[in-house]
Amino acid sequence: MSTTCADIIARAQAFSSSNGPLTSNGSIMLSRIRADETALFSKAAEVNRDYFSTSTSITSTSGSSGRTFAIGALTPLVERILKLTLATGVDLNQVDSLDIDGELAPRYTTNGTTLTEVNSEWGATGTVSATLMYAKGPASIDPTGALTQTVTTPDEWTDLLVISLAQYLHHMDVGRDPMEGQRLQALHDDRMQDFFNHLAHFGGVEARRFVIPSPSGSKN
Amino acid sequence: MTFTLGDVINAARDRHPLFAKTRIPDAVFARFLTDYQRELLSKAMQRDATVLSTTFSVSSPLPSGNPTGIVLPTYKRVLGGTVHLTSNTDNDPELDYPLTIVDYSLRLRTRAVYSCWITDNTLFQIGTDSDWEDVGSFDVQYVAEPTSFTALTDLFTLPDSARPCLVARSAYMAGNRIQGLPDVPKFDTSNLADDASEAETAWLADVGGQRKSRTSSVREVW
Repeated sequence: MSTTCADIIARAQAFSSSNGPLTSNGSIMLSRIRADETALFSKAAEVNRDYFSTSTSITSTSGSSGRTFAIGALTPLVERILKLTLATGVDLNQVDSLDIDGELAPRYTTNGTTLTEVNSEWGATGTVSATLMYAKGPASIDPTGALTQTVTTPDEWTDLLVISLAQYLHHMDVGRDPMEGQRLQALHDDRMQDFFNHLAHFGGVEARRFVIPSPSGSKN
Repeated sequence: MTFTLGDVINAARDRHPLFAKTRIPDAVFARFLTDYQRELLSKAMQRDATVLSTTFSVSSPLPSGNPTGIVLPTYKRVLGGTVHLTSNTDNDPELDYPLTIVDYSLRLRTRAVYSCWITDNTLFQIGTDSDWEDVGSFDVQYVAEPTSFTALTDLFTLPDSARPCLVARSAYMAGNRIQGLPDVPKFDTSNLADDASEAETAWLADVGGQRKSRTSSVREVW
Protein backbone atom coordinates (compact mmCIF):
# COMPACT_ATOMS: atom_id res chain seq x y z
CA MET A 1 0.00 0.00 0.00
CA SER A 2 2.40 2.65 -1.22
CA THR A 3 -0.17 4.64 -3.15
CA THR A 4 -0.60 8.14 -1.78
CA CYS A 5 -3.62 10.37 -2.01
CA ALA A 6 -1.60 12.61 -4.31
CA ASP A 7 -1.20 9.63 -6.66
CA ILE A 8 -4.96 9.06 -6.64
CA ILE A 9 -5.65 12.71 -7.42
CA ALA A 10 -3.06 12.84 -10.21
CA ARG A 11 -4.52 9.74 -11.87
CA ALA A 12 -8.06 11.05 -11.55
CA GLN A 13 -6.97 14.31 -13.17
CA ALA A 14 -5.71 12.30 -16.11
CA PHE A 15 -9.23 11.18 -17.01
CA SER A 16 -10.02 14.62 -18.40
CA SER A 17 -8.01 17.68 -19.35
CA SER A 18 -10.69 19.72 -17.54
CA ASN A 19 -10.04 18.03 -14.20
CA GLY A 20 -6.90 19.92 -13.22
CA PRO A 21 -8.43 23.07 -11.71
CA LEU A 22 -11.07 21.03 -9.85
CA THR A 23 -8.53 19.36 -7.57
CA SER A 24 -7.01 22.45 -6.04
CA ASN A 25 -8.77 22.04 -2.69
CA GLY A 26 -6.81 19.24 -1.03
CA SER A 27 -9.21 18.95 1.88
CA ILE A 28 -12.13 18.15 -0.42
CA MET A 29 -10.05 15.63 -2.35
CA LEU A 30 -8.88 13.87 0.82
CA SER A 31 -12.39 13.83 2.16
CA ARG A 32 -13.68 12.21 -1.05
CA ILE A 33 -10.94 9.61 -1.11
CA ARG A 34 -11.67 8.77 2.53
CA ALA A 35 -15.38 8.33 1.82
CA ASP A 36 -14.77 6.17 -1.25
CA GLU A 37 -12.24 3.98 0.53
CA THR A 38 -14.50 3.51 3.55
CA ALA A 39 -17.33 2.43 1.26
CA LEU A 40 -14.98 0.06 -0.56
CA PHE A 41 -13.95 -1.69 2.66
CA SER A 42 -17.59 -1.92 3.80
CA LYS A 43 -18.46 -3.63 0.54
CA ALA A 44 -15.45 -5.94 0.80
CA ALA A 45 -16.45 -7.00 4.32
CA GLU A 46 -19.86 -7.92 2.99
CA VAL A 47 -18.55 -9.98 0.06
CA ASN A 48 -15.68 -11.70 1.89
CA ARG A 49 -15.40 -11.02 5.62
CA ASP A 50 -12.04 -12.78 5.83
CA TYR A 51 -10.17 -10.86 3.13
CA PHE A 52 -9.45 -7.84 5.31
CA SER A 53 -9.77 -9.64 8.64
CA THR A 54 -7.40 -9.17 11.51
CA SER A 55 -7.38 -9.70 15.27
CA THR A 56 -6.16 -7.80 18.26
CA SER A 57 -6.07 -8.09 22.03
CA ILE A 58 -8.32 -5.72 23.96
CA THR A 59 -8.79 -5.01 27.65
CA SER A 60 -12.03 -4.09 29.37
CA THR A 61 -12.79 -1.46 31.94
CA SER A 62 -12.55 -2.61 35.53
CA GLY A 63 -15.46 -3.66 37.73
CA SER A 64 -17.65 -6.63 38.46
CA SER A 65 -20.48 -6.01 36.03
CA GLY A 66 -21.37 -3.91 33.02
CA ARG A 67 -17.73 -3.73 31.94
CA THR A 68 -16.98 -2.40 28.47
CA PHE A 69 -14.56 -2.73 25.60
CA ALA A 70 -14.02 0.47 23.61
CA ILE A 71 -13.31 -0.52 20.01
CA GLY A 72 -13.90 2.78 18.23
CA ALA A 73 -10.25 3.76 18.11
CA LEU A 74 -8.60 0.43 17.39
CA THR A 75 -5.89 0.29 14.76
CA PRO A 76 -6.84 -0.83 12.17
CA LEU A 77 -10.40 0.44 12.53
CA VAL A 78 -13.24 -2.04 12.96
CA GLU A 79 -15.56 -2.49 10.00
CA ARG A 80 -17.31 -5.70 11.08
CA ILE A 81 -16.97 -7.68 14.30
CA LEU A 82 -16.45 -11.37 13.61
CA LYS A 83 -15.67 -12.98 16.95
CA LEU A 84 -14.80 -11.96 20.49
CA THR A 85 -13.04 -14.51 22.66
CA LEU A 86 -12.11 -14.14 26.32
CA ALA A 87 -8.56 -14.94 27.39
CA THR A 88 -10.02 -18.10 28.96
CA GLY A 89 -10.91 -19.33 25.47
CA VAL A 90 -14.64 -18.82 25.86
CA ASP A 91 -16.42 -17.03 23.04
CA LEU A 92 -18.60 -14.09 24.03
CA ASN A 93 -22.07 -14.06 22.50
CA GLN A 94 -23.37 -10.83 21.03
CA VAL A 95 -27.02 -10.19 21.88
CA ASP A 96 -29.49 -7.46 21.12
CA SER A 97 -30.01 -5.14 24.06
CA LEU A 98 -33.77 -5.66 23.59
CA ASP A 99 -33.39 -9.44 23.60
CA ILE A 100 -30.58 -10.40 25.94
CA ASP A 101 -32.07 -13.89 26.40
CA GLY A 102 -31.20 -14.59 22.79
CA GLU A 103 -28.00 -16.35 23.81
CA LEU A 104 -26.30 -18.06 26.70
CA ALA A 105 -23.79 -16.32 28.96
CA PRO A 106 -21.22 -14.85 28.64
CA ARG A 107 -22.80 -12.12 26.54
CA TYR A 108 -22.31 -8.53 25.40
CA THR A 109 -24.33 -5.86 23.65
CA THR A 110 -23.07 -3.25 21.22
CA ASN A 111 -23.69 0.38 22.09
CA GLY A 112 -22.17 2.57 19.43
CA THR A 113 -18.54 1.50 19.27
CA THR A 114 -18.59 0.11 22.79
CA LEU A 115 -19.15 -3.53 23.71
CA THR A 116 -20.94 -3.83 27.05
CA GLU A 117 -21.06 -6.82 29.38
CA VAL A 118 -24.49 -8.24 30.20
CA ASN A 119 -24.85 -8.57 33.97
CA SER A 120 -21.58 -9.93 35.39
CA GLU A 121 -20.74 -12.71 32.96
CA TRP A 122 -17.17 -11.99 31.85
CA GLY A 123 -15.46 -13.47 34.88
CA ALA A 124 -13.93 -12.36 38.14
CA THR A 125 -13.97 -8.74 39.26
CA GLY A 126 -11.38 -6.53 37.58
CA THR A 127 -10.38 -6.05 33.99
CA VAL A 128 -10.67 -8.87 31.48
CA SER A 129 -8.70 -9.48 28.31
CA ALA A 130 -10.15 -10.72 25.06
CA THR A 131 -9.19 -11.25 21.45
CA LEU A 132 -11.31 -9.43 18.90
CA MET A 133 -11.36 -10.86 15.39
CA TYR A 134 -12.79 -8.41 12.91
CA ALA A 135 -12.94 -7.26 9.33
CA LYS A 136 -10.92 -4.10 9.30
CA GLY A 137 -11.72 -0.76 7.76
CA PRO A 138 -9.19 1.49 6.05
CA ALA A 139 -6.84 3.69 8.05
CA SER A 140 -8.59 7.00 8.41
CA ILE A 141 -7.36 9.73 6.08
CA ASP A 142 -7.13 13.15 7.72
CA PRO A 143 -8.86 15.71 5.44
CA THR A 144 -6.71 18.46 6.95
CA GLY A 145 -3.52 16.47 6.50
CA ALA A 146 -0.98 16.16 3.72
CA LEU A 147 -1.63 14.68 0.30
CA THR A 148 1.22 12.29 0.97
CA GLN A 149 -1.00 10.17 3.22
CA THR A 150 -1.18 6.64 1.86
CA VAL A 151 -4.39 4.74 1.24
CA THR A 152 -5.03 1.30 2.75
CA THR A 153 -6.46 -0.23 -0.41
CA PRO A 154 -4.03 -2.70 -2.00
CA ASP A 155 -2.11 -1.06 -4.84
CA GLU A 156 -3.61 -3.32 -7.49
CA TRP A 157 -7.10 -2.06 -6.65
CA THR A 158 -6.43 1.64 -6.08
CA ASP A 159 -7.84 2.45 -9.53
CA LEU A 160 -11.26 1.93 -7.92
CA LEU A 161 -10.52 5.03 -5.85
CA VAL A 162 -9.14 6.81 -8.90
CA ILE A 163 -12.26 6.16 -11.00
CA SER A 164 -14.54 7.14 -8.12
CA LEU A 165 -12.70 10.42 -7.75
CA ALA A 166 -12.86 11.01 -11.51
CA GLN A 167 -16.63 10.46 -11.30
CA TYR A 168 -16.79 13.05 -8.53
CA LEU A 169 -14.85 15.54 -10.60
CA HIS A 170 -17.18 14.90 -13.52
CA HIS A 171 -20.21 15.67 -11.33
CA MET A 172 -18.51 18.78 -9.93
CA ASP A 173 -18.12 20.26 -13.39
CA VAL A 174 -21.71 20.92 -14.38
CA GLY A 175 -22.36 20.83 -18.10
CA ARG A 176 -19.95 18.11 -19.12
CA ASP A 177 -20.94 15.51 -21.68
CA PRO A 178 -23.18 12.97 -19.91
CA MET A 179 -21.57 10.23 -21.99
CA GLU A 180 -18.36 10.76 -20.05
CA GLY A 181 -20.22 10.12 -16.82
CA GLN A 182 -21.75 6.94 -18.21
CA ARG A 183 -18.38 5.76 -19.42
CA LEU A 184 -16.82 6.33 -16.00
CA GLN A 185 -19.69 4.51 -14.32
CA ALA A 186 -19.31 1.52 -16.65
CA LEU A 187 -15.57 1.50 -16.05
CA HIS A 188 -16.10 1.60 -12.30
CA ASP A 189 -18.72 -1.17 -12.39
CA ASP A 190 -16.42 -3.41 -14.43
CA ARG A 191 -13.47 -2.85 -12.14
CA MET A 192 -15.61 -3.31 -9.04
CA GLN A 193 -16.85 -6.62 -10.44
CA ASP A 194 -13.23 -7.67 -10.95
CA PHE A 195 -12.56 -6.81 -7.32
CA PHE A 196 -15.58 -8.79 -6.11
CA ASN A 197 -14.47 -11.76 -8.20
CA HIS A 198 -11.04 -11.54 -6.63
CA LEU A 199 -12.58 -11.41 -3.13
CA ALA A 200 -14.77 -14.41 -3.89
CA HIS A 201 -11.98 -16.47 -5.47
CA PHE A 202 -9.11 -15.63 -3.19
CA GLY A 203 -9.78 -18.06 -0.36
CA GLY A 204 -10.87 -20.92 -2.61
CA VAL A 205 -13.70 -23.14 -1.50
CA GLU A 206 -13.73 -23.87 2.22
CA ALA A 207 -15.46 -26.73 4.01
CA ARG A 208 -18.55 -25.33 5.66
CA ARG A 209 -21.37 -26.73 7.69
CA PHE A 210 -23.66 -23.76 7.41
CA VAL A 211 -25.06 -21.09 5.20
CA ILE A 212 -24.23 -18.22 7.55
CA PRO A 213 -26.34 -15.08 7.19
CA SER A 214 -24.58 -11.77 6.50
CA PRO A 215 -25.32 -8.66 8.56
CA SER A 216 -27.33 -6.96 5.84
CA GLY A 217 -30.58 -5.08 6.07
CA SER A 218 -31.84 -2.90 8.88
CA LYS A 219 -31.71 -3.74 12.55
CA ASN A 220 -35.32 -3.10 13.33
CA MET B 1 -24.21 -38.83 31.34
CA THR B 2 -20.92 -38.00 29.69
CA PHE B 3 -22.26 -35.72 27.00
CA THR B 4 -22.84 -32.03 27.29
CA LEU B 5 -25.39 -29.55 26.05
CA GLY B 6 -22.79 -28.36 23.56
CA ASP B 7 -22.35 -31.91 22.18
CA VAL B 8 -26.06 -32.27 21.46
CA ILE B 9 -26.43 -28.81 19.94
CA ASN B 10 -23.40 -29.37 17.73
CA ALA B 11 -24.74 -32.68 16.46
CA ALA B 12 -28.21 -31.20 15.87
CA ARG B 13 -26.70 -28.39 13.81
CA ASP B 14 -25.00 -31.00 11.62
CA ARG B 15 -28.42 -32.10 10.38
CA HIS B 16 -28.94 -29.13 8.06
CA PRO B 17 -26.77 -26.34 6.56
CA LEU B 18 -29.35 -23.75 7.58
CA PHE B 19 -29.01 -24.55 11.29
CA ALA B 20 -26.39 -21.84 11.88
CA LYS B 21 -25.99 -20.34 15.33
CA THR B 22 -27.28 -16.96 14.16
CA ARG B 23 -30.61 -18.53 13.13
CA ILE B 24 -31.00 -20.84 16.11
CA PRO B 25 -28.99 -19.49 19.07
CA ASP B 26 -27.57 -21.89 21.64
CA ALA B 27 -29.92 -20.38 24.23
CA VAL B 28 -32.95 -21.50 22.20
CA PHE B 29 -31.59 -25.04 22.07
CA ALA B 30 -30.80 -24.87 25.79
CA ARG B 31 -34.34 -23.95 26.79
CA PHE B 32 -35.82 -26.54 24.44
CA LEU B 33 -33.53 -29.30 25.68
CA THR B 34 -34.22 -28.40 29.31
CA ASP B 35 -37.90 -29.12 28.72
CA TYR B 36 -37.39 -32.07 26.41
CA GLN B 37 -35.02 -33.83 28.77
CA ARG B 38 -37.63 -33.58 31.55
CA GLU B 39 -40.35 -34.83 29.21
CA LEU B 40 -38.20 -37.70 28.02
CA LEU B 41 -37.27 -38.63 31.57
CA SER B 42 -40.96 -38.79 32.51
CA LYS B 43 -41.64 -41.08 29.57
CA ALA B 44 -38.70 -43.29 30.49
CA MET B 45 -39.89 -43.51 34.11
CA GLN B 46 -43.16 -44.97 32.90
CA ARG B 47 -41.14 -47.88 31.53
CA ASP B 48 -38.45 -48.18 34.18
CA ALA B 49 -37.71 -45.58 36.81
CA THR B 50 -34.89 -47.44 38.51
CA VAL B 51 -32.49 -47.27 35.60
CA LEU B 52 -32.30 -43.50 36.03
CA SER B 53 -32.38 -43.34 39.80
CA THR B 54 -29.77 -42.02 42.17
CA THR B 55 -29.20 -42.01 45.93
CA PHE B 56 -29.39 -39.33 48.58
CA SER B 57 -27.82 -40.21 51.95
CA VAL B 58 -28.45 -38.73 55.37
CA SER B 59 -26.22 -39.44 58.39
CA SER B 60 -27.45 -40.26 61.90
CA PRO B 61 -30.74 -38.39 61.86
CA LEU B 62 -32.98 -38.26 64.93
CA PRO B 63 -36.56 -36.98 64.58
CA SER B 64 -36.15 -34.48 67.41
CA GLY B 65 -33.12 -33.07 65.64
CA ASN B 66 -35.08 -32.54 62.44
CA PRO B 67 -38.40 -30.95 63.43
CA THR B 68 -38.64 -29.20 60.10
CA GLY B 69 -37.77 -32.36 58.17
CA ILE B 70 -34.95 -33.20 55.84
CA VAL B 71 -34.90 -31.34 52.55
CA LEU B 72 -34.40 -33.71 49.63
CA PRO B 73 -32.84 -32.85 46.28
CA THR B 74 -35.39 -31.81 43.66
CA TYR B 75 -36.87 -35.04 42.35
CA LYS B 76 -39.39 -36.38 39.92
CA ARG B 77 -40.16 -39.45 42.00
CA VAL B 78 -38.94 -41.10 45.20
CA LEU B 79 -38.59 -44.85 44.71
CA GLY B 80 -37.82 -45.95 48.27
CA GLY B 81 -35.01 -46.05 50.73
CA THR B 82 -32.75 -48.11 52.94
CA VAL B 83 -32.02 -47.69 56.65
CA HIS B 84 -28.55 -48.66 57.84
CA LEU B 85 -28.26 -49.70 61.51
CA THR B 86 -25.13 -49.12 63.50
CA SER B 87 -25.20 -52.60 65.08
CA ASN B 88 -27.22 -55.76 64.98
CA THR B 89 -28.43 -58.18 67.66
CA ASP B 90 -29.00 -61.92 67.83
CA ASN B 91 -32.70 -61.32 67.39
CA ASP B 92 -32.18 -58.82 64.66
CA PRO B 93 -29.28 -59.99 62.51
CA GLU B 94 -29.80 -57.59 59.63
CA LEU B 95 -28.01 -54.27 59.35
CA ASP B 96 -30.10 -52.88 56.49
CA TYR B 97 -33.86 -52.37 56.49
CA PRO B 98 -36.24 -50.82 54.01
CA LEU B 99 -37.29 -47.24 54.67
CA THR B 100 -41.08 -47.25 54.52
CA ILE B 101 -42.64 -44.19 52.95
CA VAL B 102 -46.28 -43.64 53.89
CA ASP B 103 -48.91 -41.13 52.89
CA TYR B 104 -49.40 -38.07 55.01
CA SER B 105 -52.82 -39.37 56.07
CA LEU B 106 -51.27 -42.57 57.46
CA ARG B 107 -48.37 -41.00 59.30
CA LEU B 108 -49.95 -41.49 62.74
CA ARG B 109 -51.23 -45.02 62.14
CA THR B 110 -48.36 -46.80 60.49
CA ARG B 111 -46.83 -49.71 62.37
CA ALA B 112 -43.82 -49.99 60.10
CA VAL B 113 -40.49 -49.34 61.72
CA TYR B 114 -38.21 -46.82 60.07
CA SER B 115 -40.98 -45.04 58.25
CA CYS B 116 -41.41 -41.53 56.97
CA TRP B 117 -43.67 -39.30 54.96
CA ILE B 118 -42.68 -36.78 52.33
CA THR B 119 -44.25 -33.51 51.40
CA ASP B 120 -43.04 -30.49 49.47
CA ASN B 121 -39.64 -32.06 48.83
CA THR B 122 -39.15 -32.59 52.59
CA LEU B 123 -38.86 -35.91 54.41
CA PHE B 124 -40.27 -36.28 57.96
CA GLN B 125 -39.30 -39.26 60.06
CA ILE B 126 -42.12 -41.03 61.92
CA GLY B 127 -41.67 -42.12 65.51
CA THR B 128 -39.56 -41.04 68.43
CA ASP B 129 -35.84 -40.69 68.84
CA SER B 130 -35.69 -44.13 70.44
CA ASP B 131 -37.16 -45.65 67.26
CA TRP B 132 -34.25 -44.24 65.28
CA GLU B 133 -31.40 -44.39 67.80
CA ASP B 134 -29.82 -47.48 66.21
CA VAL B 135 -29.88 -45.91 62.79
CA GLY B 136 -26.51 -44.69 61.56
CA SER B 137 -27.80 -43.37 58.28
CA PHE B 138 -30.43 -43.90 55.64
CA ASP B 139 -30.55 -43.56 51.88
CA VAL B 140 -33.36 -42.33 49.71
CA GLN B 141 -33.47 -43.67 46.17
CA TYR B 142 -35.00 -41.16 43.78
CA VAL B 143 -35.15 -39.96 40.21
CA ALA B 144 -33.75 -36.45 40.07
CA GLU B 145 -35.45 -33.60 38.26
CA PRO B 146 -32.91 -32.38 35.70
CA THR B 147 -31.74 -28.82 36.23
CA SER B 148 -32.06 -26.12 33.59
CA PHE B 149 -29.22 -25.77 31.10
CA THR B 150 -27.27 -22.53 31.40
CA ALA B 151 -23.94 -23.37 29.76
CA LEU B 152 -22.72 -25.48 26.87
CA THR B 153 -20.61 -27.52 29.29
CA ASP B 154 -23.63 -28.63 31.35
CA LEU B 155 -24.03 -32.41 31.43
CA PHE B 156 -27.24 -34.27 30.62
CA THR B 157 -28.97 -36.31 33.31
CA LEU B 158 -30.11 -38.88 30.76
CA PRO B 159 -27.77 -41.76 29.90
CA ASP B 160 -25.57 -41.76 26.82
CA SER B 161 -28.01 -44.01 24.99
CA ALA B 162 -30.51 -41.11 24.88
CA ARG B 163 -28.19 -38.87 22.86
CA PRO B 164 -29.49 -39.75 19.37
CA CYS B 165 -32.98 -39.07 20.63
CA LEU B 166 -32.07 -35.62 21.95
CA VAL B 167 -30.18 -34.74 18.78
CA ALA B 168 -32.98 -35.80 16.45
CA ARG B 169 -35.68 -33.92 18.38
CA SER B 170 -33.50 -30.81 18.58
CA ALA B 171 -32.98 -30.90 14.81
CA TYR B 172 -36.74 -31.16 14.30
CA MET B 173 -37.29 -28.17 16.59
CA ALA B 174 -34.65 -26.22 14.65
CA GLY B 175 -36.28 -27.07 11.33
CA ASN B 176 -39.63 -25.82 12.54
CA ARG B 177 -38.12 -22.71 14.06
CA ILE B 178 -36.46 -21.38 10.91
CA GLN B 179 -39.45 -21.99 8.64
CA GLY B 180 -40.63 -18.67 7.27
CA LEU B 181 -37.46 -16.68 7.97
CA PRO B 182 -36.83 -14.19 5.15
CA ASP B 183 -33.52 -15.74 4.06
CA VAL B 184 -34.60 -19.36 4.38
CA PRO B 185 -36.19 -21.31 1.52
CA LYS B 186 -39.14 -23.42 2.53
CA PHE B 187 -38.11 -27.00 3.13
CA ASP B 188 -39.78 -30.20 4.23
CA THR B 189 -39.30 -31.06 7.91
CA SER B 190 -41.20 -34.33 7.74
CA ASN B 191 -37.98 -36.36 7.54
CA LEU B 192 -36.70 -34.61 10.67
CA ALA B 193 -40.01 -35.39 12.39
CA ASP B 194 -39.70 -39.05 11.38
CA ASP B 195 -36.12 -39.23 12.65
CA ALA B 196 -37.13 -37.70 15.98
CA SER B 197 -40.06 -40.03 16.41
CA GLU B 198 -38.06 -43.13 15.50
CA ALA B 199 -35.19 -42.22 17.79
CA GLU B 200 -37.50 -41.61 20.74
CA THR B 201 -39.40 -44.85 20.18
CA ALA B 202 -36.17 -46.81 19.90
CA TRP B 203 -34.69 -45.37 23.08
CA LEU B 204 -37.84 -45.86 25.15
CA ALA B 205 -38.03 -49.46 23.92
CA ASP B 206 -34.42 -49.84 25.00
CA VAL B 207 -35.26 -48.54 28.48
CA GLY B 208 -38.23 -50.90 28.76
CA GLY B 209 -36.13 -53.80 27.52
CA GLN B 210 -33.61 -53.42 30.32
CA ARG B 211 -36.35 -53.93 32.87
CA LYS B 212 -37.54 -57.13 31.21
CA SER B 213 -34.11 -58.66 31.56
CA ARG B 214 -34.28 -58.51 35.36
CA THR B 215 -35.41 -61.43 37.53
CA SER B 216 -38.37 -60.75 39.79
CA SER B 217 -40.22 -62.79 42.35
CA VAL B 218 -43.60 -62.54 44.04
CA ARG B 219 -43.56 -62.57 47.81
CA GLU B 220 -46.43 -63.76 49.90
CA VAL B 221 -48.03 -61.19 52.10
CA TRP B 222 -50.17 -61.77 55.16
